[in-house]
Amino acid sequence: MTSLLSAARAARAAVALLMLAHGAAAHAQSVRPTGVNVAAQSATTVFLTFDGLAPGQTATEAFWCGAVVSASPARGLRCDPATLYGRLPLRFDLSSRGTGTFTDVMTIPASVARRAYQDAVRGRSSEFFYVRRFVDQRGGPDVFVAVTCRLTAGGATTPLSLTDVRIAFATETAIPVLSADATPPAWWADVTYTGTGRLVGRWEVVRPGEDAPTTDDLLTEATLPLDERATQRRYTQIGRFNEFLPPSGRLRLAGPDPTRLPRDVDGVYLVLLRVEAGDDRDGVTDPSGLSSGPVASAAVAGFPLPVLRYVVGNAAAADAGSTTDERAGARLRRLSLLVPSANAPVPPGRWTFGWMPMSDAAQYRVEIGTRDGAPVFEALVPGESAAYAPPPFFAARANGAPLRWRVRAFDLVGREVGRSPWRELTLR
Amino acid sequence: MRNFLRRFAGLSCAVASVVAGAAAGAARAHAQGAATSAGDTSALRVQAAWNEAVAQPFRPLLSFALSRPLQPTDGRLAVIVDRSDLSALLSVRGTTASLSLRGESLPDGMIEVMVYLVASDGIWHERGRFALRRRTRTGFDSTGWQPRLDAQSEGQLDQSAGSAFGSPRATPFQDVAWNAGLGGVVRRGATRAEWQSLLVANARQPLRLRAGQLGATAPVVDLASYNVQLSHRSLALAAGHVTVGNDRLVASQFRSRGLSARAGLGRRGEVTLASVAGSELVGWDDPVGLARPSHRVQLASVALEALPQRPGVLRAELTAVDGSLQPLPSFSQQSVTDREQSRGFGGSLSASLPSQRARLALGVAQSRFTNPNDRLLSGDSPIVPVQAETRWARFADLSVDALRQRKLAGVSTSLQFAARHQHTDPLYRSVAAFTQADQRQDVLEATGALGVIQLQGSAGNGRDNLAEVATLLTTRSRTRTANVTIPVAALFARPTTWWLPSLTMSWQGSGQRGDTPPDSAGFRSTAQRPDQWSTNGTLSAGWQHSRVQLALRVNRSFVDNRQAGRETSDFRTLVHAITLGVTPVSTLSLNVDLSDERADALEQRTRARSQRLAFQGDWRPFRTTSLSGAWSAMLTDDRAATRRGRNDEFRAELSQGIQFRRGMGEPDLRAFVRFAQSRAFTRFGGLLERTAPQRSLAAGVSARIL
Repeated sequence: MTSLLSAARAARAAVALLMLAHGAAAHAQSVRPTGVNVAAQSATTVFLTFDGLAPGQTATEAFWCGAVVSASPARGLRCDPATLYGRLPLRFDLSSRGTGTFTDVMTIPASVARRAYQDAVRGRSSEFFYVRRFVDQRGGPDVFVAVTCRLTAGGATTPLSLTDVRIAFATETAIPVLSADATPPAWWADVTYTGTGRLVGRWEVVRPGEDAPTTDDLLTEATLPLDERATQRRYTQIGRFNEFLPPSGRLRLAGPDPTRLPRDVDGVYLVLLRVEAGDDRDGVTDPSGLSSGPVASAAVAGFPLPVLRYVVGNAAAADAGSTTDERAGARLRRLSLLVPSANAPVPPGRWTFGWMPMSDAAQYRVEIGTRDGAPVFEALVPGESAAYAPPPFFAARANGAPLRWRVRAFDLVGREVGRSPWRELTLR
Repeated sequence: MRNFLRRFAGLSCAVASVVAGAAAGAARAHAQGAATSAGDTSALRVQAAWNEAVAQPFRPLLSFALSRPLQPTDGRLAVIVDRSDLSALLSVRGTTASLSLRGESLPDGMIEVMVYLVASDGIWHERGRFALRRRTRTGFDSTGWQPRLDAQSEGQLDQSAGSAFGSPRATPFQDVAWNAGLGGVVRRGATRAEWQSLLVANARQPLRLRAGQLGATAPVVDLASYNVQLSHRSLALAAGHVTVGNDRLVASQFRSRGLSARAGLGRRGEVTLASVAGSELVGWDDPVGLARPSHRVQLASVALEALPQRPGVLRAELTAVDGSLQPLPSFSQQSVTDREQSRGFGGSLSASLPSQRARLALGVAQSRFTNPNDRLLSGDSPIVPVQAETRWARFADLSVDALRQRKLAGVSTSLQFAARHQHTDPLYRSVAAFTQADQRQDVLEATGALGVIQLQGSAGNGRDNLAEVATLLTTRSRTRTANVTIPVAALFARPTTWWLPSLTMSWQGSGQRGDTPPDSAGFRSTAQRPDQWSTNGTLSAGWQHSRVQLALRVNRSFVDNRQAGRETSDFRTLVHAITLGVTPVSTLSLNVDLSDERADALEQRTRARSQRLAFQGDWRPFRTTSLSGAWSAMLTDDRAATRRGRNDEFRAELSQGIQFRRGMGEPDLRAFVRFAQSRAFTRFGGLLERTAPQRSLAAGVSARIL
């Protein structure tokens, strides 16, 4: 073990010398930060800014590795092929070229950190490297720029980055159907992160008829290059958050009051989690050596944030049978109601319904319901009678809801022959 | 039991009446006959002639046995079935009353039948209340169907976008969308089937359900969710969106699409088997969720109650998980994904005193985890392989109620202590649970109530690098929390006094400090080593009046960096937020949000400040008419970042519903028109640059077809 540690120290010293030696050679290009603390047991994302790019220089692949060697005859330090941990997967490559700068979002999968950890257990140095290659289209030498990654607990001094975001309603189904009148379920975002600092942002809703957000709109603000940060489209804001994230790595961010979810128009709505760039010190790229100045890049994420959907529509489907009856009702003869009058308060004990009899009615059905359509009570009345006194407890079944009533007439074979319109009923 | 008690009460009343009547008329021998002739209604008893425990035909003939023939002076019998007075269908002959439910529209399943004697003075006397289980027309005990179909056509009539919003958006568009669902339940005897589904369709590609995953190939009509559940006695099967796993270390409430089966063992416990996709899916491609073996999680668990007669007193649970994940997050999730594979098991034991004064939960798990080769990560180059490793995790939770609503100085007092321990080995991971590897956490917690005041406090310590790897930094962490909730109105026994607020105070301190890093850990200065203490405190106050709600929130956090070279690199954030909601009448609601956020970088002596003012209102002048509007302005003063310096937004929407069908709570048709405008001043360094406003005019119509 001692010999392994000695070898690790020697290798580290060699790397430091190499980096010093090639610092001058690669001086035309610099990167900030040059070294970062990353999580040893999980993923980490870091916003990097490469400066001093010459015209014609384009970025190509990026690798992680356990050791770097001289890239000669190219410039800088390249990965030792025997220690490759992987290349930046395309799904996480959010790099962007600006004027003289290149912004890169280094998303380190947990499997890369795991490889580095297992190497450290074997006695090697626990630091590893992220090397981005730049190719000169005009025929100049390639340039390799390396960033040092130091394995830590992933808390304090690690850049604040989001590594897993899941948004969900407190429902069994992934996409709930909400009605306009009912209170929507609560929702939240489960956020796994590295670092510590403030998570600042907004909850927004995309309404039916609005343009869908693009992939860039769904990125956290810190993930975008400077000149694109203000271009993200905004939607209806329903809440704002500014939460402190302790260095514990996981937070459940509750959504705002669910009643703020718009539900006035039917259709599919999207709930967006919009995260603004934070000012955390470990997320602010060091201004020295960069022409662009300081860059607030806390709360970077290597992926577009997920979208939560809900549908506003007929959440509680009406009884199809009665709906058919309603349509048929338009063709029926009109039955006239007598008492009680509309909106005339009916005192307790005098609850008697009366209507004009119909000659071919063998039976009447008195229907009492709430004004929003929920049935409360009904009664069959023989055709020879045109009045009905309900039991005293029927009012209690309404639970104080505003009521209405009507009468339907049926002939001997059960066909509906007449129907009254609904009349409002007020109980004293 | 309830029916029995009711019947017993009715019988008791009847017996009491008879006894009283008999006592009163003991001296008058003729009184008994007179009582009958006078119509002693209390003496009539009614029994159902059907077996209440057995489901009856769809169109049953209900028969009732009367204790004696109905006398003219008794009044009349009334029968109410569910919410329908069906007395008109009742025929009484001698001591039998019968009622045919042929053709009556009644709900399926269990309903209630009530029999009354309506006296000539109009007073209703209950004579019996019986359960009626009725099969459906199709032979089931109950069925229910809930189809739904909504269609919408929405789009932008006009829009303009300035340079600040990137390239101008697409030209005005009109979109056609619909969504449909079918829910239902059928039941017969102990067998029950239940299902629900949701389909969504959208003509425009960017709005399709899987536009984010499939791009242009996303289907127009897609399956958003479905769930089918079938149960028979203690056996339950589920397909579709399910949640499985109850072990915090190997499988914890894992939501996905797949199959699960659960068999109850009576009171002794249950057995669960499940096979689900590696992440929550939508769409048609993999309807059952099991199409890809490389993206699947399989789970088996057994839970046993050691004392079946006292469930929860001593319970053991064993869970085994075998899973493999492709780098595919769930539908409403995004994450840094990997190819992952794990196989493991977890065992837990929970115990409590019969009085629940002390509770203990213990758990241990083992998982063998690796990252299979991911071509997207390795490309064409050989990379260092991840070695599969078998690791352990464990936890122990103990809580004890020291005081349970004990009166101390006349105040009801409760006090509970809890101790928690969790240890997860380095590299421990299970694909169906979230755990933080290489962590040891020990927490002591106290929770109490002093009258209406709720108190909570905790202290915890933790560390990483549990394997003591010589080339790794070891970081130690500590947390302290304190929370107090005071409902001031209740405290002063004035619960209706609206101006006395409900107060909540919370404070959290958390710190991390790295040990002296080893030479080979890559730390080149002490400033790179973690040494930080941060505090976060929040004070919230809420007032609730019948028409006014006011909420105030103050939050302050302070990050104290302590490592050499960064002692002064501290940060302070202060957030004030006020929310006022007013509902002057039931058809009008108004909200005002006001917030002020300040972030101070003490070393640089710079301050970032954001202020926001927002108004929002909803007015429903008529039942089907809605007018809503919102205006907000935000001012950001943050020269260290490139953000919008100012931003104001306005939105107004008018919607009108049209109701064709009566009896429906919601309109059948709804049309809307919406105007939105957003303006921004973008800060580039020290300059504020005004950008062209973005305006849009949208309109649409939606119909509820089913």
